[in-house]
Amino acid sequence: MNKLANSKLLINPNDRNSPFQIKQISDRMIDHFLIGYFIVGILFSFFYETYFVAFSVGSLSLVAYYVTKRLLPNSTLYQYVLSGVMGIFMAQYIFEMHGMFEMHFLAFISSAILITYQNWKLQLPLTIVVVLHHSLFGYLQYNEGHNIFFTQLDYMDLRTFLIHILFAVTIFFICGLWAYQLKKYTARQMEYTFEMARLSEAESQKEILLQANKELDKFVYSVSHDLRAPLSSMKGVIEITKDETKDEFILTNLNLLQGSIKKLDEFIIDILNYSRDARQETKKQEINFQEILEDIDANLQHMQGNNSRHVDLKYEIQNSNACHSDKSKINILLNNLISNAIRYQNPKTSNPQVDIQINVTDIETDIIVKDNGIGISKENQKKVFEMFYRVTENNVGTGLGLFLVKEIVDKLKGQIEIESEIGKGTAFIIRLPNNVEHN
Amino acid sequence: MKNSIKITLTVISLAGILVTIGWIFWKTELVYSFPTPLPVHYKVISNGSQINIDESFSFIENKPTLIHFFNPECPCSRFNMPHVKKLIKQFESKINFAMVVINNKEIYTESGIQKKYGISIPVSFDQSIAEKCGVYSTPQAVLIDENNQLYFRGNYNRNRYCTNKESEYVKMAIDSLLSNVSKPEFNILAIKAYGCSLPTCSK
Repeated sequence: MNKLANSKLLINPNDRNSPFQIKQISDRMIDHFLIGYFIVGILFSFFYETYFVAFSVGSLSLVAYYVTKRLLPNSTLYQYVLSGVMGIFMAQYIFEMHGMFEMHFLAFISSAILITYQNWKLQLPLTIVVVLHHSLFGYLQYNEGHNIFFTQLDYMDLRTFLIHILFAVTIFFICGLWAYQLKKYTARQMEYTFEMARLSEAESQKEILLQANKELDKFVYSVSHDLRAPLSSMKGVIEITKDETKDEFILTNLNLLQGSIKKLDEFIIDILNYSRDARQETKKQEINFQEILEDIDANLQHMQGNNSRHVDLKYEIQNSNACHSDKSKINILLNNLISNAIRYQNPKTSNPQVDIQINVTDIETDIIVKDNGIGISKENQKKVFEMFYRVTENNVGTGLGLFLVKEIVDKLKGQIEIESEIGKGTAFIIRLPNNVEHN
Repeated sequence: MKNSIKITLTVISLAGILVTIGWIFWKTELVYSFPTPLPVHYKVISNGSQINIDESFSFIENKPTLIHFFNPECPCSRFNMPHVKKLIKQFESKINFAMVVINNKEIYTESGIQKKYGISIPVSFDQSIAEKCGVYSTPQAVLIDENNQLYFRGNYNRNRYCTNKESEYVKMAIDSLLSNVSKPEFNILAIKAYGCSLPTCSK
């Protein structure tokens, strides 16, 4: 949350680099500079009594700038007027100081001042005024045939004049270049600031989400655990009651009750498994498929009980290499697939069976669980991995089994495919990468 | 106010200001780049003419005289004052200097002008001297030799600020007069009057 607050500070409009601020700060600076220009003009007028020009031209320039700024505050026109006005101030100073050459430096000062707006085009009006001003005087100087009475400096020949203009324009160009670069840099910095703010916001949201997920997992886990305890005692009570009665009606009811409790227990175990799977980091240990499958076989034969036929469980393991993976995850995965095969056996076939092939190579571990059960239709094949999806309503599954299988395969960075045909059976083909670092 | 009105208003005021500033620079500077217009009833006084200025100035020694025609309200006159002062300092011993102020407003007095520009030459407000010398603009120099004959009338320098050494016309005229060599050929920029017209109301 602290990061979020910080990010808001970063995109604060009071930021010195925001375009809004650049304009405001620059405008305030220009106020000072322009008034300084005017006052210096007045001071110069004391040298040769050029009060009239100092006051009239100086104040007209200020009026031009402030009228434009007041009338069109949202346009940048006033900045261009400013640039032109600065050129006029140069002409005024040159006039006031009798063509004193040093007064030309004012144009360079103005050019540097204009960088503050970070707009290279602002150099143009100043350049135009300076070039026009000098061209006019240059024309006057070199047109003796027209009886023009004018010269500023005796050494100011045409070549010198052209070189001066070239240097002046170069300075304006460079100032414009800096303004452009500065603008580009500012824009990039703004972008960066926004990106930072966006990233830190996304990050803090992710943190919140992770926290919520963790809490939910913990809740599911402890609730499932607590639910199983009363179920166990219910099972015990039913067993005791069954021993004590010979009433057929009561026995039938107790059997139904037992079936429901079993279903409920399975459901809770599935949830527990899922929760455990989500909570636990993937571990890496050597997998003994033989051992796992024997355990599952024993458990499932017991699970099948009286209400279904015996299902033949065949398995074939080819392990040239040792498989390294998460044992408890592999266990859940196989358990779910095999119990599904038993649950959805086809009543029409005489010998329901499950075929398991495991092939461990250097690169990957292939697991194929194949049955001759009822099969899954094409459109259902896409949905079976969704949470709480059950192919048929009257079936006994929890809707979590295959979802969990898919979760585990994803976690182990593997792939799962279904090959199935209604009435003939289903095959799940799983490929898990071997000897690969899992996160 | 509608935006279009604001834009129109801005453009009009900017154009007005630009024209006014241009007009100010024209009036105070550029117009003086062209020859001063000849007055309607101008009487030509050519070089060598006899000019009597004894009524206006009484100099002790009989030396050549340089009369500086000056108007404190003319920008050009003010601009070349430093140059005139330099000439006075340089040739004071050989030439009588005098100033004619072509402006008869009462605020200007002999002592006031002398004090303001730090000079001690006689200052006359006699407006008729200009006519006698054929002067119709300021600043102008009139150089009269020992025999009261007009030797040179014209501009101080091609440059209004008198910074151009090659066109120090008045100094050249003084030099040739004092050293008795033949007068250099002055071009039109030297002898054709440039500067401010004389104020007509002052007659």
